[in-house]
Amino acid sequence: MTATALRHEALFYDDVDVVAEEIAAIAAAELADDAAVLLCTPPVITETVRTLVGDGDARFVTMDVADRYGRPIDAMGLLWRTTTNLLRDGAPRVHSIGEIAFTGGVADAAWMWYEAAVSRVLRDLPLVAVCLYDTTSSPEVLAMAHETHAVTPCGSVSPLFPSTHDDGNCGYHAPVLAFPARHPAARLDALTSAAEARAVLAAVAADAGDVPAEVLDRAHLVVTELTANALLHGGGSASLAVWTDGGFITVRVDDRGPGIADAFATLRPPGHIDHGRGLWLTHHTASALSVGPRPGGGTRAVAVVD
Amino acid sequence: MVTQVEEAPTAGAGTAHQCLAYEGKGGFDEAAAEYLAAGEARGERTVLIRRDVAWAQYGRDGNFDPCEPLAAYEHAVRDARADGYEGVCVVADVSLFVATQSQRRTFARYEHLVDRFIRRGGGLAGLCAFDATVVGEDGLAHLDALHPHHPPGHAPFHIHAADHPVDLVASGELDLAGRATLVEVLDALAPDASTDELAIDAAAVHFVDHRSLVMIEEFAEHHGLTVLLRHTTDLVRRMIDLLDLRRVRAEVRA
Repeated sequence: MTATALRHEALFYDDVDVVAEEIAAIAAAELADDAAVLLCTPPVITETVRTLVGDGDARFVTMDVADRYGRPIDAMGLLWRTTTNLLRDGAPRVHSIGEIAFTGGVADAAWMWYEAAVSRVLRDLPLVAVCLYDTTSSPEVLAMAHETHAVTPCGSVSPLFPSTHDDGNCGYHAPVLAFPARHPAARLDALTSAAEARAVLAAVAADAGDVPAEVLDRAHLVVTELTANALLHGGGSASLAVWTDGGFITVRVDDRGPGIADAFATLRPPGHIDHGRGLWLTHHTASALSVGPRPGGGTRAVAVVD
Repeated sequence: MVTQVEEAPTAGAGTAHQCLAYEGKGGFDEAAAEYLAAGEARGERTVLIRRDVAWAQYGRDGNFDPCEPLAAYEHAVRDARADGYEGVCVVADVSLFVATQSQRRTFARYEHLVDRFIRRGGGLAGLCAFDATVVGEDGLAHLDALHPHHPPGHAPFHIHAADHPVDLVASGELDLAGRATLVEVLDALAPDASTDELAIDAAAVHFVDHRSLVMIEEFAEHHGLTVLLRHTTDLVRRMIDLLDLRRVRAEVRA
């Protein structure tokens, strides 16, 4: 098998043992073909595959589900970094197999956005990204899987309905982060430099008195990158609002530019693009981030650092 | 009016390279006299080079060779020491060398070369004086950035030469506001062809954004070397990692 660009597949299963054996067969074939395999599945599947495939090949990488799937940005970072490192080490392609733990809670929307993003932002990598879906998952999750992946049944399982996969956005967006519904500790409506934003942040943190230095350092980076984006792409000025509460900081940076067209901008890795690295960095550095339309026009970025 | 007057050097020749931005002849004369008096007190031969003399000697109608005055200073230090002086203390009004951006780029290279000579014990103390009305605020920021920081400065950051074990010392804040200055400064810092790693003491750098790190990465790539940021923060190390920079390394301060 060859892969020169991304294949993003969903593999539906209803029997853990059957899917584990199928994954083991895939992994063995890929390793025999010098490709690398990245496995991030529930322990019961990982252990079965490891037993069947063996543990000695450096191109066979296993990852703990909790480590990989903490936040969408962490999952994207680990997938992109591990893949690019394995490719640098000589693998012709990487076959990644993982399973996101959808819970039925509010976090599911972010993971659906992540799945839609994988098809778009990693499309140039020689990567086969297989996502496992237990057929007992919620109808919403299964429908999303059909929309964002090419679908492969496992064993006796048939696709529940035809794939509508088109590599596109599919309408999935990052959840919008709320900012506190009270007056900010500081607000500045005509920022012209990132240094001004950092000075405001430092003053607010000093007043609050309980913001750890490490949190303030990260908040300085976050507000700098968001302000720089607003100044460069958002019409030359920005407005900033800052809240503190219990040692953490929330910032909101608005601009009145043309808005941000890329729904996956904050999940887009660096390396093959000349811009956008600031949002990638900001997303990793903040505890939570959303970037989207501002009511009335422009772009609104909200970030929490704790 | 003098907009920036440095402290007179007190540590002797070999440690002083300073920048003066002045407005009006009186400001220049006053600062020059103070600087030269300090040099004389240290036992150095003092030299005052006014702008027309400097331009006539090295300007060559704009074809300035940065190595030429450097060689002259090396020669002057040797002569001074042979005559019993501790070294040479010079004040030079170099405003006419930096009237255009192109001239400024060439002169910035000279600034770095002479800075390196001074820092490595060359026996020279130098005050570079710029007429603010000729150079302009952007130009002052670029030139100020190549000198050690003395508030109130014109540049948001400073990078200057240093003794072993680092090649350069940086201070201040690197972000969007200093991007154009960083381009010119990096251009001036081009290392010797034999250098495979450039070590920068970043202990006094209070902030770095991702654009500045990417520019340093591109500088390193262009010159086929790696840049080691010594005494930097764990956040900078993490930024380098997240941005997948291959030619910038971080050594985190304790």
